[in-house]
Amino acid sequence: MMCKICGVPEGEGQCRDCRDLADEIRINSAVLAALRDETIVPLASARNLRRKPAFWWGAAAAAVLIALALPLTQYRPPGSPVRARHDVRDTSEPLKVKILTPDPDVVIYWLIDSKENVPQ
Amino acid sequence: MNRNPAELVAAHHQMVLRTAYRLLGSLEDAQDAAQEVFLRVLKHQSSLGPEPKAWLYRVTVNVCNDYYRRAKRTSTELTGESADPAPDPEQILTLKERRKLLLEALGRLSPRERICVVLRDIEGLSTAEVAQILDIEETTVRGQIHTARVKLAKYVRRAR
Repeated sequence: MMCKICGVPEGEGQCRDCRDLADEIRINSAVLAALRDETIVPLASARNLRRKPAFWWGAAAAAVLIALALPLTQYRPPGSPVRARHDVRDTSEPLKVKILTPDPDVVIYWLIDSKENVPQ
Repeated sequence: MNRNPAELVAAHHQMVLRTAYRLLGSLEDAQDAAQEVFLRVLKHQSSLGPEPKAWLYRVTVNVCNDYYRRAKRTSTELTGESADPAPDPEQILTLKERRKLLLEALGRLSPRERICVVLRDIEGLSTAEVAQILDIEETTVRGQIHTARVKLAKYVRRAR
């Protein structure tokens, strides 16, 4: 008797190789069918998920830098006349801190108004 | 038919994206292709039938075919003629390994074979539906699928 698939003489109507191949195809079909239930996550979402921690690390670093820079803006040499200090404060521009984020399209400017701390 | 395009996108986006991803093998390309498909939906919205699934599959396949042509992929396709050593019965692939190998092998089929396998075996369409989408004879689809399945099986056996 010949194998029904490959034509090689075989006793059972299908040779061993063809039987193995048929089994392989059956398993593959089941695995391929399982791919149908997979949800494909769009790349943008994946990128955003990756970006979030980086962004917060950047923001935290910026906050630390601001915290360190803030006392320097209010530093006056010892013995400076009080009036002079008032003049400087009144005319000075607000402190502008530029915070770069991981997104090149987003830049945060933080304006710190020193007048808030001037005693009335 | 005037169906809300947003509804249509929401209902079929995953199907289009998944099909494009399986056909192109790259998520970035698949996303661009899906976008192109829905742009075509907006353009031809009035000619959509009550069941746009078959139409969406056809447009997805066409858009992906454009990608193949543009990319002119040079990767080696599976011929199915290379040596096919008998598998080692001791070595049984895990489902995860088999899945990985199948995805690799899928990328090495000819575009037509890949389309047939993706629509028939992954998306679960009938041979008649695949033939209708591709506008070819059912017997041709059966032939393509048989050839592709044998190539995939041999690839998996060789990789063991």
